[in-house]
Amino acid sequence: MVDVNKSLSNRVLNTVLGILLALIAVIACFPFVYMMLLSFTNSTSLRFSLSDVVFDFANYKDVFERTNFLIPLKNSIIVSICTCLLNCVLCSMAAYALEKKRFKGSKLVFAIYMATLAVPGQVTMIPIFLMMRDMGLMNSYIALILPACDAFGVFLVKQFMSSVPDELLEAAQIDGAGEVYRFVKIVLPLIMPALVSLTVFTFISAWNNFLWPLVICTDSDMQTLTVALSLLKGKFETNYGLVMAGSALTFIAPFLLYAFLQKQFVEGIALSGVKG
Amino acid sequence: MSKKAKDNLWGWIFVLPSFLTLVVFIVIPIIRSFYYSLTEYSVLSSPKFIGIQNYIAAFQDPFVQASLKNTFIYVLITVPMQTILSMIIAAVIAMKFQNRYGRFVKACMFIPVISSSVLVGTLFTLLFDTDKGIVNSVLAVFGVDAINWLGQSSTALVTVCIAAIWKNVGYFLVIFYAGLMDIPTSYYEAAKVDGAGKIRQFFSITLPCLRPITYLVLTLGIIWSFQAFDMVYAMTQGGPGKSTYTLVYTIYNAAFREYRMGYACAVALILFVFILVVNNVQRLFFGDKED
Amino acid sequence: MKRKLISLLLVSAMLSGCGAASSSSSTAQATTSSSSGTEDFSGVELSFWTAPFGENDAQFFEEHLAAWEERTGATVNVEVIPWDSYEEKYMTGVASGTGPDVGYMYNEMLYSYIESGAIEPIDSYFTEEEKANYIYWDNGNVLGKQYILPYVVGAPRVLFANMDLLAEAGYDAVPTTWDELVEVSKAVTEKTGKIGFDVPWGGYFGDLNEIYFPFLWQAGGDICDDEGNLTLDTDAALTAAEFVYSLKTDGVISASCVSRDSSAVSDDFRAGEVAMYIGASVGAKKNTEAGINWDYVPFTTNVEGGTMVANDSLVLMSSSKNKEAAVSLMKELTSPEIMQAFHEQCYQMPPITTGETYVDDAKFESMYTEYADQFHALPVMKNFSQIESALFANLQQMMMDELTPEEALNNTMEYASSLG
Repeated sequence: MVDVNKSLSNRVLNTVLGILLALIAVIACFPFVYMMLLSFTNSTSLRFSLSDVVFDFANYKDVFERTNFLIPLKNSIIVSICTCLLNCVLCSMAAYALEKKRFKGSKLVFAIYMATLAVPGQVTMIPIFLMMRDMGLMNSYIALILPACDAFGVFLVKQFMSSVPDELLEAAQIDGAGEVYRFVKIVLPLIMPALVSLTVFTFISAWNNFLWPLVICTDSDMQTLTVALSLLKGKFETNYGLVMAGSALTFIAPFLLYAFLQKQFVEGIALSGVKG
Repeated sequence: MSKKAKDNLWGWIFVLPSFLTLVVFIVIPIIRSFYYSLTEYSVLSSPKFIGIQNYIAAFQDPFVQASLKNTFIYVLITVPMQTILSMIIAAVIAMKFQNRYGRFVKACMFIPVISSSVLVGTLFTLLFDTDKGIVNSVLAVFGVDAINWLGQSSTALVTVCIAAIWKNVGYFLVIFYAGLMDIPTSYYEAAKVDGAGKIRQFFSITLPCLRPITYLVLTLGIIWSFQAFDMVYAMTQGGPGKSTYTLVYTIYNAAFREYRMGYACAVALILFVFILVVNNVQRLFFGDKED
Repeated sequence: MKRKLISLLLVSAMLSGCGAASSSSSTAQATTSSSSGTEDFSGVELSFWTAPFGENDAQFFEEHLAAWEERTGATVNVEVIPWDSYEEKYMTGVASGTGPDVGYMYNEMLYSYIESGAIEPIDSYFTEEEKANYIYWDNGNVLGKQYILPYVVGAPRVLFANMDLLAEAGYDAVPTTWDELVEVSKAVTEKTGKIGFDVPWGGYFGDLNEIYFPFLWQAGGDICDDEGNLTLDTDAALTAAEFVYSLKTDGVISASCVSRDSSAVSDDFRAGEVAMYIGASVGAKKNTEAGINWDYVPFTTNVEGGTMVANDSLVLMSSSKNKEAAVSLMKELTSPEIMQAFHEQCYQMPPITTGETYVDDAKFESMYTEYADQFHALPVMKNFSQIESALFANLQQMMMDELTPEEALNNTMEYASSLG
């Protein structure tokens, strides 16, 4: 009897929670739905009525024609992917050193990492910009990629690194495994969930970055997608249908990446095995 | 070579690539902006040293005073709310819905994170519109008079906070979920054998295991909330009055609209000090025990 | 400091008739080509920064500058910069010496660039004959020198009215005084239940161009005097603030005005929910498209008439390595052919040279000649952005009953003087 009651109440609880989650999901989807609908209108304001919606893809065609879409798309893809790769490599190495090596000075180094997070980018942009110019790196992919590596990723991975058992590393060392081998073969698989999260976050910020690519590139062949699409906005009158079509197109990449990695996420954990 | 010496060497080898990038592209610019904070610097002409005048001016500036207060309120509202909400939702999904449905919900929750702040800001402006907004319509059903959400000092900041929380929850959800996946299932199995219910499991296993992740989420939440800018820019432009001016919004205005980079850097340094102080207080409660 | 658009009496004769306009157009073309015949800028590379006005400005200018490039041997890199971060881009570009040779700028930007010596005076590069061709040449005299070439001049902030709603309320003309404005607005609300006149107080400081400055000028005041001193402590400034405040306390404009931005108001106008609003004349096209039977007056009058007009310009950057070529480019950009095409394809504005034909909305044509004296450009003065921010915040507080009109203006004056 007790068991039946328990499973019944369990099922009720599950249903209630499921409905709550569905509600949250619907509310979360709202901007996406709004953006999609707006992208099929010619509305000159962000308010529109459903009667304006015409599913004819004219705005999407226009976006392609007016922005040379493929060039900025290529740039955005190159920059975002390189930033993700670089960030994953640098951050996991640094986090490993800071969490597992506890070398002399590691506390100070980590404190410096954390302190940099507390300075808003608005005031560091000009000095970074002047430095890039002095290095002759304007209009280069390097200038677009390098500054994206910041302390956030190191902090994120370091927090996950703490759950990697020290015994495992010691055991491997006794078996004669070298430093690099241990990092690549033991540590990396175990922190996969963190790296997946980091990839997703890095990709979003690199993909959506606007001000930096705008100021650092003066060559239109180096424009990224956000910069190219921002030119669709007028001073007094903006065709928001067009702007939203552009937004929808920029939205797809990070969303697909997330949806895809979400699965990897779980598999990555299953593969690493150790943690159950 | 002793283990200690080897760890020292390899520690530096592993940290160096990242640390060098950080020093060149972030630490040095920060030091330069500290120098600018002691100068009158329009960016267009070269900086002129004026000592601590910018700091004196900053503390007398009514916009900075309002920003300080608003920024603190913003942090106090958004950080606890977004942390608790994202943790609960992540825990519910991890415990009950580790399936296609859970993944679908998580994907939906991630939409606000990817959406541009301008879009989210506009949507919330529409939702909270005084005369036609859905929120006031729903409240009217319960007999509540229309609230002038974005049109009065007392509620404008709260409305901006709600939008920000809504946008951030999906982000921290991803982190919490990854943390939950990291907890060995054997812990829960052992607890089950001991007869612990789901709620007890949450408090005795999940929460303690999530401690490093909670610390991460809180630290990032505090740092980022102190730097609140996007939503203010998209929704209220600091108004009405000065009721939603935040420090970074003031910094942005000073640097890029008013050509006062030196002043902007001074306000940024004040902000920097506040973040460090608050973060260290926070660390006393949630930080790694060993530190 | 106080600058008005010069009277167009002389020019109006040329613009009034189509035949006259096209004949002067051809003479202007002749002078341009004859003067450029001797120009040789082979190998010179120039960069021109502009904002997105039309659908594809980069393509527009590349096409229209091709002939000039051919003729002079110079090449022009056109960079279109999004409005969102226009000033950031200029700031980093100019500060690092990677800025343009010729750039488009608006008045609010000018002071800092002129003060730092980034903008070169252009007076000596133009002949008297050429100067005479520019209708607004004198507007380019800012801070005592001819620093700018007026380029996008127009888009005055006019009072639009929905004539159907006004007719329902028993009126057949757009109000021309403050009293009429209040009277008509109240009548509209009474008879139709719609908002008679709406003013958005929930936007940003740039909206002052529609929501306060016009009233300030109409009250006989100004933003600053001829020496560049802020004059928001005058009786006129107070009269304007009190009038703006009374619009809310008398229930003329919506009680939620502080939560509404300019697009909310123009959207409601286009939806037939608002009978009157003040907005840039370029909004006329959308009002027509929305099927609104609209009319306008350039401004309502109290002590005098007056409203704000854009006075954006082309500037020659001091860092330009080849100023002769850059000036030649400026002349080409403002030549009647290119300007007219620009106004037809990219941005509907009135002509800026005598040689150009009017292509903006026909309803506005007479306005530019009749009321030019009452069209005011924003001043080029120190700390103007900060003053605007403070004025806007203080007036918003007034609209929320947190400050009296006196306090709002006094606070702004005090803040302005604290900036030094």
